[in-house]
Parts: sequence; C-alpha cells; structure tokens
Amino acid sequence: MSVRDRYWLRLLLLVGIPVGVLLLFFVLPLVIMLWLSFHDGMPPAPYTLENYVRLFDGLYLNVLWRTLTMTVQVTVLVTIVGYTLAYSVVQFSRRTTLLLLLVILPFWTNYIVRMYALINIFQTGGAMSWALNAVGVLNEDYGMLFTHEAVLIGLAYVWLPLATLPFYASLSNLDTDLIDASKDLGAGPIKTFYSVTLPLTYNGLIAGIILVAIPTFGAFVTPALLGGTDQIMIGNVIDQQFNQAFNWPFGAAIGIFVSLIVLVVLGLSTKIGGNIVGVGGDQQ
Amino acid sequence: MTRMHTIEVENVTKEFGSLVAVEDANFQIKDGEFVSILGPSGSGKSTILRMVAGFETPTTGSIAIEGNEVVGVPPFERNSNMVFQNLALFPHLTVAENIEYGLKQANVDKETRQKRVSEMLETVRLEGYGDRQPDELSGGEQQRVALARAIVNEPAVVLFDEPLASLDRKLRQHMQFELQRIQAETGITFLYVTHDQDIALSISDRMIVLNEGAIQQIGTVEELYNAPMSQFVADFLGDLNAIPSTITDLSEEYVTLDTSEGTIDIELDAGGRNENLIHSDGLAEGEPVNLCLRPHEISLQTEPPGDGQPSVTGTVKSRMFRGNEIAYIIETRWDEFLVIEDAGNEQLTNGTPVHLTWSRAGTYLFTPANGTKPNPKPA
Repeated sequence: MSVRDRYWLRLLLLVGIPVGVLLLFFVLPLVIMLWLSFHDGMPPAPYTLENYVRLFDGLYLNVLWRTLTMTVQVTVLVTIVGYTLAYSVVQFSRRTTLLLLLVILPFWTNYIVRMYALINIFQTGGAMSWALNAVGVLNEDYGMLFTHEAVLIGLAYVWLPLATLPFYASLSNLDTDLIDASKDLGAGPIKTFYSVTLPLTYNGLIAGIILVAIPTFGAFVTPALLGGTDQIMIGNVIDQQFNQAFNWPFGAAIGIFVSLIVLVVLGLSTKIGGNIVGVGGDQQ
Repeated sequence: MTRMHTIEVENVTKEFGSLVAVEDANFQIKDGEFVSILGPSGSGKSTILRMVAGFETPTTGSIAIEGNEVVGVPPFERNSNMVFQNLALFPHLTVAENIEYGLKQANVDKETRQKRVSEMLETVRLEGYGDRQPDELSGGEQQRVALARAIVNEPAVVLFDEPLASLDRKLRQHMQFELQRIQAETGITFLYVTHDQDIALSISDRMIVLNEGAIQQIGTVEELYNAPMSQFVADFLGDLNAIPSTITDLSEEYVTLDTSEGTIDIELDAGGRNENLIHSDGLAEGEPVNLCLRPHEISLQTEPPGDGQPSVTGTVKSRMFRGNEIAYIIETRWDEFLVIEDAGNEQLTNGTPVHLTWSRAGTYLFTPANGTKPNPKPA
C-alpha cells in the first residue's frame, strides 16, 4: 500500500508539522498561562481565583480604560490617515510602487531606533521645539514627551504602514468603472464615496483596523518609552508583573483577560459591522 | 419649435499629450434616433462617448445635450446615462437597488422609486429578479440590469460602450433585438459604440464611421453599405477586394484603368458613386485608383470570358463551405481575394486557375490615399 492510499498518513504528512508547531508554541504556552493564572504564586502553590479578583481593583481598571481609549484613538487616527494615504496613492499617482515603498520603509528601521528618534523630536528643546521656534510659532522651549499625545502619535506612526497596505489593496482592487457608473447615475463625489467606495473596500478597512487595534491594545514598548510612568498601558502592567514583580500568575491572569476582551470585541465588531454596511462575510 | 437634436458635437478635438484621439468631430443626433459609432479599436470612438458622458473633456470644441452646452458639466449633472463595457453593476447592491440607484440620486420618493423599479424589471423582462445579487445572474441578464439602470431616469440619451461584446453570438443577436424593442418603447435616443460592423449594421438607424480619430462618413446603414465614400468605409462594412491601377483615359462616360493585367474600362453613370468620385474629386489621367469589388459581386469561371468582359486571373487557394454559399480564397497577383459563390454552382478544387469577372454594379473606385490597404478577411 502506497502513501497515497493511506488517508491518515497523508493527512499527518500534510498538516503534521504546522499543527505540531502551533501546538508547541501557541496552544501549549496558552494552556500553561491559563493554568498559571489560577495559582497563588508559582506552582506547586494552591489554586486560587484571587488573580482575577485583583484585576477589578480601581488601579488596574484605570489602566485598562486608558488602554481602551488609546486603542480607539490610535485606530481612528491611523484609519483616517492611512485610508486617505492609500486613496491618494491609488487615485493620483502613477508611481504607486515608489510611494508604497515609502510607506513600508519605516518598517525596515529598528523599532527602538524609531522610538528614540521620536523621543528626540518630542523632548523639551528637541527637534519639534526647535522647528516651532524657527518658524516663529513659539518663543520658548517646548516638549511633549511623556504625554498621552506623544504615545498616541508614536503608536499611530508605528502602525500606519500596517493599516495602509490592506487599505491600498482593497482600494486598488476597486473597479474605477463603478465610480464612473455612480457619477453617471447622478451621485456627486461625496455620495459616491459613501455609497460605492466605502462599502466595496469594507473588508480591507476591517482588516486594517484589526491589524492596528490588536497590537495597540497590547503595546508596551512605545508607552514605556514615550509615555513614561504616567501613561502606562495594560501591556506595561503585564511586563512589570513578569519581569519586575515576578508575579507570573497575576501577569498570566491579566494576559488571559486582555485576550478575552480582544476576542469579544472582534466577534462583536464583525457581526455588527457586517450588518450595518449590509455586506455579509461572503462578499469579495 | 424645430425638431431638437439630442446631441450636437461641434468641432470636437481631444488630445492626450501628443496623441490626437479625436480630430475635429462634427455630428448631430436627433431625438429618438439609434446611432452607432463604428470604428476599429483605437479609433477614438470610446473617447467620443466618454466626452458626451462627461468623463473626458474635449481639448477644443463644444458638445450640447438637448441644446445645452455640457462641456465643463460633471457627469452627475448631465442628462445622459451609460451602459459600460463591463456593465459596472454595483456588486454590493441587489438588482433592484442597482436600478434604484439613479432614482435615489434624483431624490425621487420611495413609493415612486419602487414603482419605477418594478416597471423597469418588466421592461427588461426580469420580473422577480429584484432581490438577487448581480453575480447570481447570467451574462445576458446582467446586460438587462445595466440597461434598466441606465434608462430608469429617462435620460436624454443612453450611451453604450460595446456592452454586447462579451456575449456569445446567439445571445448577442437576441440582445440586439431587445435593444431595438426597448428603444422603440421608451423613445430614448441611443448612442452605441462598437467595433463590430454586424452589430452596427443590424441595430442602428444611422452610423458614424471613425478611423484614427477622424469621422470617415455619416449616414444611414444602407447609404454607408451601398455608397461608401472611401475604401476604408467600404472595407470596414463588409469585405472588399482591391485591384491597384492607374487612370489612363478619362471621359464623361468612361474611365480606362491600367492594371498589371491589362486595361479595364469602367462605365460611369451620371451621378453614380464612381462618377462622383472621379469627377468631383477631379482625378486626372496618370493618377492611381483602386478598383474594388465586393466578394458577392465576383463570379469565378474556368474559361476566359467573352469579348469585352473585364476580368482578372487567379488560382483557387482554399475553399470554405458555409451552408448556402461557398467562400473561396483566390490567389491573385495583387493579394488574396475573397469570393463568395452560391453553393449550387460547380465547386472548384484548390489549385484550379480561374478567371474573375464581375457585374458592373459591384465595382467601386477609390483613391488609395483614402483608405488603408485592402485586406479581405476570410471570415
């Protein structure tokens, strides 16, 4: 009997390695974290629900709320800027490849290097302060490092390419005849945008939003470097629990809780979003 | 009030950089007419259509729809609707919503909209299809939706950008009849762009033949087919075989041509198309002229024809059976000629030397400069 005839062997050869890798490096760590989160200290410690109760302490709820607000703001900002950027690349340019390259270029630079560049720009007496003084807007040293806005701009800057690419992909796939048809039937440019362009690029829009919202929700390097101690996000708390407080069970509990929030929001948004726009998941 | 022209195109030229896509186009289309713009690809026909629709702006010249100048008016404020080549149905809307789209933009109230949509579905014979998505329909049904969407607002003119090109022959013929029926029912002016002379000849009242951005001839289908003014028009509206020759003798009634196979006399009827060409164009002795023959007007015979009957010689190269007729490709000293004979006639085998004779009515004289190289297509 050859391999071809043996169903289970074929299946194993086909998906065995990826499934094995996923089990080992994704499912197993997740299970360990879940198991850990119900312990009072590192095992063999007694089981407890204390870690989850502690989450609802005002301190952590505050950080969680700040993280949610930040995520929404970053996502909205990136969506507006990224969509406009992708739209203009598609509409007004013949040098699409070059412009797309410019969009991706920051990704080739080390994340930390880019963060330090932003620190240089935002700090008191830094590049931004110098430029504002040079053009005469300000006449004193100015800095915005360690503010909410600094973190917002930093995160938006980092995730912009991630959202622009799916926006670009869906916009460039849009048949321009459909735009022409809409105008031909009497719809002006704004009406055409809302009734044709937006609904037909909806999937790309959602993809870009998800790609930005999820890493923003878990961000910890950017808020640590640009926001300092006043702007910590939930990612920083998890980081602290694992690396400074060495309270792994509590860190694990926060991690699990955050993942649950993401899953619930994701599920709700695709369901509601799909109904609002009137396109199901089977489009495109 | 005099009869209105739905569309008036005056001295319209469109340049894309150094390329002249349309050169000094002039034509009028009357209310309720069905007019085709016919030309090979790249002749500028779609550019004319897009200028009427408002997607392109003429470099110079004026375009009027129902007497109102529209150059500079955006497409969404023009009283014209278009059926796109790829139909451009909105994939995220149902059939009914697609048709309703234009009414919504015109702020028609909901009740009237629903009434009009169901009327349109009836007109294009798609009752009960309103709730489907466009991609659930067949090609022919999608064509009907695109048509319904374009006529629902009762525009002054509906513009067609070769929408039937993608259909198979049977369905295309059927849709041609449907277009004519709907045009007659609605009375809306139709302007149809195509490169397919069969479609243009069969559906339109009048045709505008275009080549390399310039209008070659405008007229009814019969005029263009029977009295083409240039070899290009004649060749484009049916196959044509050309014998290059030189004028050696010219009188009021006769023109004598010298071909590389001897001389041929052509009788000129007073006021006839050949007479017009020779005398009004002022052709003189010594000038080149093409003697052109329609495939149906040529007869083949193995024996040389009798006294005075003009003829040329050739060899049968191939033969195609077409049911009631037979198409021959004849190798001549100039080119391959296409000859079509009744199937009842004696069949000639490949390699047979033949004499080609023709009836007087079937000859056209064209100045070679007027047209492209004759190239009979063994269709």
